[in-house]
Amino acid sequence: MAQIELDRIDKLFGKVEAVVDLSLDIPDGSFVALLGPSGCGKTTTMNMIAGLEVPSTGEIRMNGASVVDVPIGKRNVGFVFQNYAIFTKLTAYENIAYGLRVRKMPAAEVDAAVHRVAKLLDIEPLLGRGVRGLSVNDLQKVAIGRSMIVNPDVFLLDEPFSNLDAGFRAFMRTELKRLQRELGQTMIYVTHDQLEAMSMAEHIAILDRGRLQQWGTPEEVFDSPSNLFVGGFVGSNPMNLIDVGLQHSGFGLVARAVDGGHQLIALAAERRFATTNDGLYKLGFRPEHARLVSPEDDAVDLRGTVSLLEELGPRNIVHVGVDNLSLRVVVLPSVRPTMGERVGVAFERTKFHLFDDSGLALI
Amino acid sequence: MNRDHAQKEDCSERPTIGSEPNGTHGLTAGSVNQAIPSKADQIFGRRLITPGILLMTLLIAFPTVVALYISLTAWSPTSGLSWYDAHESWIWFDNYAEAFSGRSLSILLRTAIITVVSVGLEFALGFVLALLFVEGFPGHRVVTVLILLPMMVVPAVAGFVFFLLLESSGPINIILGGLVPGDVQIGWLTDPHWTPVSVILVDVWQWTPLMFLILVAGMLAVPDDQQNAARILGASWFQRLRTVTLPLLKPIIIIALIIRAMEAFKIFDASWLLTQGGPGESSSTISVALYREAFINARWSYTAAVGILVMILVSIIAFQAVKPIERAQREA
Repeated sequence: MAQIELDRIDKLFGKVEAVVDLSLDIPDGSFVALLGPSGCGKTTTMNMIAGLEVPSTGEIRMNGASVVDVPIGKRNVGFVFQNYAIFTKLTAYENIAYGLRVRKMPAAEVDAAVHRVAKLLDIEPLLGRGVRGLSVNDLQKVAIGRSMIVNPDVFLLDEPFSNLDAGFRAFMRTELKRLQRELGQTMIYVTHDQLEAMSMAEHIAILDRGRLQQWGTPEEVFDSPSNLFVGGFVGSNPMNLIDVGLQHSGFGLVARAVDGGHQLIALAAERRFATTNDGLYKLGFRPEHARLVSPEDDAVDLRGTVSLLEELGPRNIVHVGVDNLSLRVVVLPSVRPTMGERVGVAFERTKFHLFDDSGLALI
Repeated sequence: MNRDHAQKEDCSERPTIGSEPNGTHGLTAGSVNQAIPSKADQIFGRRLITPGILLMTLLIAFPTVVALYISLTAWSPTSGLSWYDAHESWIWFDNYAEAFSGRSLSILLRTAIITVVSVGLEFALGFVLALLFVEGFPGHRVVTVLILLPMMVVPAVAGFVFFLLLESSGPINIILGGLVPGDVQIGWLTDPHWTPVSVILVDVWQWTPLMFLILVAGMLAVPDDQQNAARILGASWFQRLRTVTLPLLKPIIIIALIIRAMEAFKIFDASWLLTQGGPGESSSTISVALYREAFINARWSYTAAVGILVMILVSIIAFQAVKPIERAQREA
């Protein structure tokens, strides 16, 4: 059980800023994802919590006490490596038992613990085997078992599922969530896969170039991205982004698409935009929050022609070319417009985003 | 912005690419390669490898066959016969019988002891140095160059330098005299009890660097992740060495030991340059004894017989030693 607090952490490798001014407060027993592209500092952050790296400045506290001076191995963390880091010369049994063996626990107790963990992970028949013959899926479970057996206060997982095949990955996602609920342990999970983060975590910390971009629940980061980066990174389908010029007019706020043939989009009549200055912005809306309408429909925001249809089974994605812009719209599988067909795109008025030229979200 | 999109698409598509079966490609490629070449191609191919085969025959097979032939005769260059007429002094296995006599066996035993002690010390020193290097200490790069220097010295030069150092009134005895009370007069080159030690000393000085180099390479190849996993689980440095590093290093250690043992078994320079194998035969190794028989006593046929026996012996030991590596490969 542990509540973990990162307090203004910096980590420099020579002149490279791996992590900059990172503060996070991870509640006890929560399931947190560190999400970001390669090189965003998420693994470095994880290594600092585990003790593999020492922060250049800043404090890490577990249950209120600083752990910066606590040596690795005394922090009682479980760590599952991206490539599992299984001890290749030991059997599955000895791999799982390792943490207890180095603590010199009596053999009978070790044996009981190994079997308890193996049973929980459903790998009892594999225990006696060398790990070289095991599939990645089983290696994954051995790696989790090896970390679990020492009852860590916090569980750290570094992209643990990136090598698994798609089916087993989905299975392990639910399995890990079940484990976390049963054990009630704090789990921190590093991933570059936003779907994985969204589907599992209670809280997501989104990092880019070593800086925290947003901290929030999956709903929060999906519905209200704090900036352009988060808006673009979260979501299975990339957000549609249009350069627009904003104008206040008698009708309220109006956007003029710079690339979209200068089409006018009436954004809102409400006064809540009164503070936004006229000028250049980015207008963003998710493909899930847009729909195809007839080009003559009153609700239409942008008119264009169908340039591509992706049929994905449970849904289709229609690419609509508007001048030299390409917009994506998620539609039902029954909607199958023909190439070159003229269509209108309309997006939900409550679900769009405006970003200023520094990328910061305005709404 | 587009870059972000591209990146994300990459990530989400990776699993599908990874799980794509690619066995079929391998199969087609394999069957194409196995097509039987035409007659003309076969002849052309043979012509291409002929020079290589001839060269190998000349360099290896020919001397071996000649040695085998001479070893069954009493031929020597001073006998007045050409080597191809050696059959006129045919004596069957008399040379081999002599080689199994007590005198030869004592030389063999001494060589074996020198080999085991030298290689053992080289391994122990090399292993400790390699561990220090891998753990990293200030200035370890400079020290590495210094450690490697002895290996780059020509063995004959090394032998001569040690000959000067080990003289009874030489620097080594003087330094030892400064460390312990009284005058040190160790007969490194003259006392039959100490001459084998001197030979071992030179070999260890010269070849510990090679052991160090091989072991450092092996240790650097041990995955950091396994070390880190063990550290996080609370394993001490020594526990990690025993449970992670050593098992992974085992094949490399075996190879290093084999390479050094085969070389040390043939040790010549150190013994010859320090003492010419003496006094008496106190520091004679097999190579020194062979050299003495061939070039001083001009007993070429006997030398050939012993040479062939040594070749067989070293081959048997090498084959036995490689077995653990093959077993490890089968397990993997």
